[in-house]
Amino acid sequence: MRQDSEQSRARTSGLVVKGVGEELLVYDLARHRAHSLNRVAAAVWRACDGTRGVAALGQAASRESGQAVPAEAVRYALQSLGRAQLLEGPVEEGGLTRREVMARLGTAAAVALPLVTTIIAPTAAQAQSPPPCLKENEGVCATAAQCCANGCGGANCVCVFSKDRFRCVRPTIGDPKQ
Amino acid sequence: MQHVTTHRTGGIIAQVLAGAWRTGGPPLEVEPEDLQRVAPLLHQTGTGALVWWRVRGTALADTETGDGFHQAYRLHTLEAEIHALRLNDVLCRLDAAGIDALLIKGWAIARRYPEVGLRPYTDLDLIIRPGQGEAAQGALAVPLALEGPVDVHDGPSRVDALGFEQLAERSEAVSLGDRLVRILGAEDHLRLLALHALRHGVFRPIWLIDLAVCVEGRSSGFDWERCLGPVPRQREWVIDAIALAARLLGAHVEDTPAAGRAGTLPDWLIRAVLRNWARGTGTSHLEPVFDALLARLRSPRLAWAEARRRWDRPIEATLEVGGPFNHLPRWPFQMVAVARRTPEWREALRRPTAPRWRDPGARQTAPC
Repeated sequence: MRQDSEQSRARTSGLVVKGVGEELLVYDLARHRAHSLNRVAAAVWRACDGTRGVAALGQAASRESGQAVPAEAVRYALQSLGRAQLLEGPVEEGGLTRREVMARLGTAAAVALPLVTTIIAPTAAQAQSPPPCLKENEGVCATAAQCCANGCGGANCVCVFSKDRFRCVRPTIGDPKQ
Repeated sequence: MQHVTTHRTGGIIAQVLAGAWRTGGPPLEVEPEDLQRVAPLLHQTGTGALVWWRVRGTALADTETGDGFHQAYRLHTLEAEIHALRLNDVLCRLDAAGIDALLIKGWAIARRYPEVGLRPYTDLDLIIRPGQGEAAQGALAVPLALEGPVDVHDGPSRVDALGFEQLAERSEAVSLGDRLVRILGAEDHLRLLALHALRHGVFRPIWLIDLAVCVEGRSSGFDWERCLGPVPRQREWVIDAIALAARLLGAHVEDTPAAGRAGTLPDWLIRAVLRNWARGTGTSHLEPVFDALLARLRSPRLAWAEARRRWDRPIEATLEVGGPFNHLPRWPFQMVAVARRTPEWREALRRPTAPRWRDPGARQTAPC
């Protein structure tokens, strides 16, 4: 449980961040998870410099997003960002649900609700993303049987033949060799 | 009946992707249930982001299928960022080892799309000066910070008829952040992409879209003679591949050598491509046919299905035999192609121990 005296700080290392339109896409290189932050959630996240409390975060996020970000929305954002492991330190363990936040905020919630969505690959075969599952000295084999017998490095890994050798790879969107 | 269904599925894919690479392309006119039906194939072959590009702002975007394409777009966009970091790492290492490298496919073509994330790719393909393969292997022996497949071609002989020096001389340097990346000249790259697509039976629609992007985005000084290359049969193949992009995806090829060819392409070729699109997979990246059949010996049904699948590759067979894409039947080419693979079968029977792509004793530090 985060203490009141602790202020939230956005994680900066091990992430790839890309702004697309009004959303911010974040890829966690350590956990291989991708997240989409809407404008309000992104504004709160960017404002998390380790010095601001909830009220100050709300003000900073309001300035950046151009819309009022009430304290309830900030708390919900911190909870969501924490669960997505995009904040440093312990995770905010509040039990706010989206429905509760919307009820408390009233009609303004529709525009001010911060959303952090984990991006799921569209089909099961398209696992989370790189890295491919080449294993040191085991990712390349003489035969498919040998390659796959070694486990190919984990879930969703497949053995493919490419350029005169077999390899264990984890397909991203689509097969290897695009 | 199976054939009709397969053909129709491929046709829907063609319809969905026609002009998808253009900003402000024509509105997509396809039934939602048809789009839903082909969605897994589109995702599987790496065109999900492009479809999102086409359906965003339409009623289809708000459907569950549309949301899947949106997710693909987001993932591909992030993957493009990760690939750029990985590419930077790889080039930095090769630079430090004094290795000249030319980047092909992947990022080199993705950068020509309206957004780099619209064109996903998995591995980094580099052509290096012949004889530098061992040095490159050493430079890449330490695992990359962001792991991923790197295909290093020791010289261009496997992918093009021209030599490294010629390709390097005509290459161009483009920026990737603070780094300059050497990529093939536009003419050489288009030829390489066209031949690569045919070599793999054009089973990914994205490969024809690559050709469309290159042709429609070519500069006014584009040299077609240079593009088609010195080998007569390859010249025909490049033209035919571009004509396929025009015929199936509506690529604008007016004022190109392929202008008159789109309407005269043989039916078997069109059907073969649509069939491959409906399958969503090719055979070129799979285990060799001998290993595949051996693994299925206990199930004659599976072995027969595998054998049929491996037989049905008329495009690859035509290239392997060096034939033309004309109206003659393909089975003689397929027969010759199978016969030519006999040495591979023998090789499979006496394949040595596993090749190593990483030397476990390699130095444990990397310069980048």
